[in-house]
This record gives sequence, structure tokens and C-alpha cells, in this order.
Amino acid sequence: MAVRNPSTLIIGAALALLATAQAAAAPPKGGADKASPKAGAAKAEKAKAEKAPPKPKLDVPALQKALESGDEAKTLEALDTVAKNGDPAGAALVEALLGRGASVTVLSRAIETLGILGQPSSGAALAPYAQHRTPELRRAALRALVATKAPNAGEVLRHALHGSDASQRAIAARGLGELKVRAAVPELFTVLPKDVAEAAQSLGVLCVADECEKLVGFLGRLRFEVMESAIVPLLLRPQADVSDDLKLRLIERLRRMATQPANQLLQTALAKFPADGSPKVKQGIERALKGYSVTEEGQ
Amino acid sequence: MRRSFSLLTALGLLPLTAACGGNLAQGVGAPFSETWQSDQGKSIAALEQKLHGAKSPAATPVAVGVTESSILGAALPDGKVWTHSGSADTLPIVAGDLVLASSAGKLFALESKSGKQLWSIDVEGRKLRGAGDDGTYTVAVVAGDNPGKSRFVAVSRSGDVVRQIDSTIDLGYPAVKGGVAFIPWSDQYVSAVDLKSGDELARLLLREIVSQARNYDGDLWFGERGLVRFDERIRLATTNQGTRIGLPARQLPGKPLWLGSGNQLWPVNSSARLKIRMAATPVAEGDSAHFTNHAYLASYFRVVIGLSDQDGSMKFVKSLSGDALGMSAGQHGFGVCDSSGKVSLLTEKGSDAGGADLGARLTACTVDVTALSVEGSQSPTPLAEQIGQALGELTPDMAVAQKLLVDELTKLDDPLVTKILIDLTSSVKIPPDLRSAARKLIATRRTGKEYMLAALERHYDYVSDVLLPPPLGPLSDALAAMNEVSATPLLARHLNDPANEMADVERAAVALGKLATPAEYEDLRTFFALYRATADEPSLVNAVVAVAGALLRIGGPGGKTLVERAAQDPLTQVDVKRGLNTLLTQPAAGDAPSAPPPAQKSPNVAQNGKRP
Repeated sequence: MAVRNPSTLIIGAALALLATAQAAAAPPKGGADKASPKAGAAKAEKAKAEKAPPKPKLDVPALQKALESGDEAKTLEALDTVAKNGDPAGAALVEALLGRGASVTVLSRAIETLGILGQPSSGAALAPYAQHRTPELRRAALRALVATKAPNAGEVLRHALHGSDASQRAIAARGLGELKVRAAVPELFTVLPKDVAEAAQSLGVLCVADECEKLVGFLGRLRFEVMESAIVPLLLRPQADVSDDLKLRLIERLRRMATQPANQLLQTALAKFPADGSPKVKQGIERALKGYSVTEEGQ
Repeated sequence: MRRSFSLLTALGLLPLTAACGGNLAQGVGAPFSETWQSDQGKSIAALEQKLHGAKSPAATPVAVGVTESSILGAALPDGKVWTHSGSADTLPIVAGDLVLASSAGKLFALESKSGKQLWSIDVEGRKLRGAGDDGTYTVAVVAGDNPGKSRFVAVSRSGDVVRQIDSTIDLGYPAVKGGVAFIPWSDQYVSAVDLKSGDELARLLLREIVSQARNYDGDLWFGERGLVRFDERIRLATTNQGTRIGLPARQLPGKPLWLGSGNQLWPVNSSARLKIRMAATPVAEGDSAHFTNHAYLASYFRVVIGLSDQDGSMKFVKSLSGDALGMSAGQHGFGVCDSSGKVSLLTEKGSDAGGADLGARLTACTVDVTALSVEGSQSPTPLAEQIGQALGELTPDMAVAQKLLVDELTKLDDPLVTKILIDLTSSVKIPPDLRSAARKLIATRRTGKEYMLAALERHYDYVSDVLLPPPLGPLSDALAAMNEVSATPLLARHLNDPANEMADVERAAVALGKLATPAEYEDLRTFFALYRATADEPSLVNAVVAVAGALLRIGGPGGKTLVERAAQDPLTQVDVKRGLNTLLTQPAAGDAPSAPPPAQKSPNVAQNGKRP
């Protein structure tokens, strides 16, 4: 079995997060956007969906009966049906199940199902489970909340960042980046040096102006593996959010580190550099990879 | 046991060696004679009468610290710090306006206000054990580390040794008045020796251990655990009818001693003996005696406690920046010297009244304020607050002192006590045993509601470094016992906070079973939904059933339906289901949904009150 470099995994996750965030931040389709690769991919996806055979309509009364039966096997079967069907109409049934309560096995499947359905309306039903005493349930609830992009998700995730469960904090920190919850930036900065490494990744996506300067200031104070998840997203963000000047200084610092991970990180950034990204920054990365100073033109 | 005494020398001062017994017809001859027959206090009474007008000078208020290489001092309350180059091997002693110390086989005297060395004599490897001064002569007992090498010396201001007595019997801590030295020995006698003649003029026989002869503000006292005053009643001391004073018996951490044995040396090292002591200054009033300030001090490393001389009750407490090395009780107020070099003056009520800083870390310290009246303008903070502050400043290795302070705290009615106990349970500096004790005590509190509610506002918060949740269980017990309905929204919020211990959540649920109002319905319903089928431990089962009881009471028909359905649902945990069915079969359950909480004590709450 191939073993992947953990650094690669972290950078990969950060890039995925950035992609999600950029997609979320993208302007509505139409006009100039039609020509973009992302718009093309969405179109293809839509076409694929159009070609797929239509899914059978949910038998809501039967499912409701099964979910209220108190029979664990029947309930799990009904939840499977709802999840596989993907019909948003099933969400309300599952939300009602969460509202009544059930065994850990059933709750776990129900929360997962709501995550699959991804309905923002599920936020209210999921939120209490982010505080459940069973760690697996509250972690699943947080993941599902991120997937549903529920209006209350940001608030619940921020609250989870304050909790006593380290895994829960990690999920929350990552989710706050995915959901672009700018209001969480101060809390993410507080937990970053307190062993919540995932906060770096989210801050790399969320920070603006001085916040990004502050984030870069952690370079050298925190483990490089923690910071690298923040750096690539930061380098790939538009100049409106993160200035070229900061990026160039960051690239120069990485160059001066002269380490394999720093070099690898610059290579990753270059490989992923957006076509419409700043040429100055791209040139800076290229120069750094060749060993030249980014800031001193003459060298 | 072999007892031999030798009056070895009366060095070089012929006039002083001449017999001088003319004024004392009842003199008892050579010092420390074993053939002495009790004279029923006649000789000592006659001597007292003779010396009645004489008054030894009181000790100059001063603090004297010892470092590895020097002796530092400062006259109190506001003298400049002086330095004597060279250390001391035993605790320096303040005698009159001198500071006596020994080092490397020498005994030397420093002027207490300036540190100027007045004299130094060879004591052949011995170390200072005790000393006194009457303004003309300084007397001292020096001794070796092993028993049997006691030496008494009397030295004039110019440094001449006017009397020297070597003894194989251990001599105690001496005093001097009007040219007569008082030397305790054999834990039983005090021999009064005329410094000029060397004769024993009188002898006091006490029926209690006597190894100390002390001068407090010009008065002489003899004894060890208790002291008998050298006054007109001294004749009766043999039959325990003298003017006597002692400290009340009470348990204190480390079992501190007041004066300790006068037959021992007090080496200057980090021994705990120096740090666990008591200080008190006796004073006569008419035919009786009491202690100045009507109080005494007890130290236990970094804590100093002021205690009543009547019943030992705590009057004040102070934590120090270093271990307490020296203490003294003044005419009014106290002086304390600690290992950080700080000398603190305290008023008789324990308020800060300035002090001095000797400017170096100390290995030992002597402070003498027996003649000082400490004035202070600060009004003392309430005792509960003092205890709380001390508890907050103590390090975890001070568990014994912490326990004492907590015990004292619970004797107070002040509502502030509740806050202090809550703070203790929330501090990571507090050892687990003490935290547990504080939790137990919180459950018994019936005052300090505002502090309880404030504590419940707090939740575990990783971001803000609040890493211990409030003592939810004990607070729930107390608030339920107080029928404090205003606590219910806060308790309900804690119900659904997973950072709380399960046992605490159970107690909150039980309290809510008694106190909850319809306003808490949603929180209760959520809790019930989350755990009715997932309760995996008895505490959680109990909590769910208690919450169900509250839902029945305050939830109206909706609450009743909720509980009834849960009782029927096969997914509901089996023990929970049993509890729900019991609730549902109880008469009148849920009949008065909006009724105020019952006034009587809930049996569950009373039972839980015993838990930590």
C-alpha cells in the first residue's frame, strides 16, 4: 500500500478547503463566468445528472412509520432508504427522529443521513447533538452541520471550538474555514497556538490584511507541519484578500528556510497557482525555487 | 547519668571574682550544685525583691537575616539595611541593643541599629544557643553540636569575658538582670548567678519543664511550653502558683513550637523547624498575665496565622512571598521575616503596616519587635477574604495549610465563604483532595446565592482557558436546598453541557426536578431526547428520570405526552423506561404543571448533599 507523505495530505486538505471556499465565494453563474473551467465542470455534472435514471419517489408515510416504529432494524433500513434516495423530502423525517431521540446506533446513522442530504433546514435538529455526551455523535453532528451549510452551523461550530473535546475542536476549526465564517477568526487565532492545528488551515482561507500578517507571524513559532496547511491557501488567494507584498515576503521566508518541506510547499503552490493569479507572485515562487531572492531583483 | 560542673575560669578580672554574697543572706553557693535542697522559693523571692527596681533593657526592634556569606539587618520599623560580612552558624539572637551570633568558633556582638561589630570572643568551636543583655553585661550560652559542651559566658560591652562557666550538663537559654544571670538547666532549675562573684545567689525550681529564661520588654520569664514571670509571686512558682502564661492547645499544621527547648541549637539551614513555629509576647497585668495583642502567631512555611490567645481561634491569616523564618509579637502588632528577605510588619488585626526588605534571599532570620507598637492605617479585610487570598496564593505543596484554612473558612458565616469555596474548586493549583473537600462544603452552604449564580454563568471554555467547569453538583444541591428558583435557567443550560461531570449533571437534573419552571421546558426536552435512549450509566439514567419528572410537572399535556411516548418506545433505555413508568404511575404527577416548586426539601437532594 502506498504511504502518502503527511505533509502532502495536509496541503491536499488545505487545497480542497480552498477550492470549497472559492466555489462558495464564486459569483453567480452567467456572463463572463461561462467560459471558466469551474462553470464547465458544473455544466457537465448537471448534464450527467440529467442523463441518470430518475430516482423513485420517497414513500414518506411508510418511512415515517418505520422511523417511529421503535424497531432499530426497521429504523436503520428506513434511514438507508432516505440516504440512498437523496430526496430532500426525507430530511424532515430524519430531523423529527433526532428530535425524539433514539439509540446511539440509530442517531449516528440519522446524523450521517442528514449530512448526505445536505439540507440547510437540518441545522436546528443537528445542533443539540453537537453537545451530546457521546463523542462520536457530537463529532458526526458537527461534520453534518458543515455538510448542510445550515444557517446556524457557524454559530454551533464556534461554540464547539470552546469545548473540551480536542477532536471536536479540530472538526470545528476546519469547518469554520470551509463555511467561511469570518466571525470566527479571533477564536481561531486564540486556539491556533493551543494545539488546534486545523485553525491554521482555516485562517489561511479566512484571513485578510493584518490578520494574514499575524498568521504569517506564527511561522517559526509553530511547527512547520501546522503552518504549511495555512501557507498554500494564502499564496493562492486573490490580491484583494492577501496582498502580493505579503505573499512575496512569505515566499522569501520559505526560500531562506532552505528546507525540503519548504521547497516542496513552494512547488505545490506553483503547481496549483491559478491562471488568473498575480504574475508577480508566480514569478516570485519561480525565483525562490531557483534559489534567487524574491525581493532583490538584481540577484 | 554523670553530672559534673566546673567553674573553670573567671577570666582575668580579679574584682569580679571576689565573693559577693553580703546582700543575699540566703544565697545557695556554687552554681548548679546537685546537693541543693529546695528552699520553697525563698532565695529566688529574695533575689526578686532585690532586683525589683532593676529593669533590663527591652530588645531593640530589629530584623536580622542570614545569607550564605553575610548577616543583614535593619532596625524596625524604618531603619536602613546594614551588612555584616561573614555568616552565622546558628540563628542570631537579639539581646537588648545587640545582635549576638556565632560563626567558625567565634561568638560576636553587633550593634543592632548599625551592624557594627562590638566584640568577638573565641568559644572553641561552640555555637550560640541563647543570649540576654542587661545593658551592662551580655550573657550567652554556647554549645557544641553534641551534648555536654555547654558554656556560659558573660561579656562586658568592651568585649571582656567577665564570667565563663563550662558545664557537661546542657545549659538552657539565659537571661540577665542587674548583673545577675539566670541560667536554666536540667529542664527543672534556673540558677541565678552573680556575675561578679560567680556565686549562685538563688535557684528557682519549677514543676514544669524550664529551659528558657527570656526577657520580654524588660520583664524576665522562665519556662518552655509555658512561662512563669519573675515577679513578687515567684516564691509560689514551686507550687505552681506563680504568674504563669501559656498558649491554648490547638491543632496546627506541622505542630509548631513556641519557644522550643532552650537546650537546643537552631542551625541556619533549610530545616523545616525554623519555618514551623509560634511567636507570642507575654505581658503582665495586675496579678495575671496575657499575651500582647491577645494573640499569637503560628507559621507554616509560607503562611502566617494570627490566633486568639484565649481559644486559639483564627484572627487573621497572611501568605508570604517566602517561607516564614522569623516572627515576633510586638506590644501592638507583629513582625515576620521570610526567606525572600522581606520583613512584614502587621497590625494586631493582621493588616499590613509596612516593613523592610533586607534585599537578599535568606537562610535564616530573627526578628524582634517585642518592644514595638506597630501602627497601621489600613483597615483589615474580612477574615474570609484573607483566607481566600491566602488559599489562592498557596502552592499545591501546602496542602496541610490549605486544609486548615478551609476548615477555618467553614466556621465563618460570611457569604463570601461560598465564593472562596467555589474559587477553590475552579483552580488548577488546588490539590484534588482539597478541591473535593471544597465541593463537599459548597453543597452545605446556604448563603452566598449571588456567588453561586455567578459561578453557574461560567462554563468550560477552551478558548478562554476556563479549563474547569463550575462545581455544578454541589451548587445544584445547595440551590435546591435554598429553593432558589432563579438558578433554574443556569442549571438547565449546564444540563446540556458535556464538559460537566456526569455525576454533577445528575445533581443538576435532580435540582431541576424540584425547581424547574416552564421557562426551562426546551432545555429539559432536549436533554430528555438526547439521553432517554442513550443513557449508558446509572447517573445519566437518574438524570433522565429526574428531568422526566420535571417535564411532567412543568410541561403540561405536551410534557406528559413526551414522557408517556418515551415510556412506550422500545428504543428507550431499559432502566430509564422503568423509571418513567414509575413516575407515570405515581399519583398526581404532572397535575400541577405551573405550580411553584414545593417548599419542602427533596429527599433526593438531601441525599445528594452528602456527596462530593
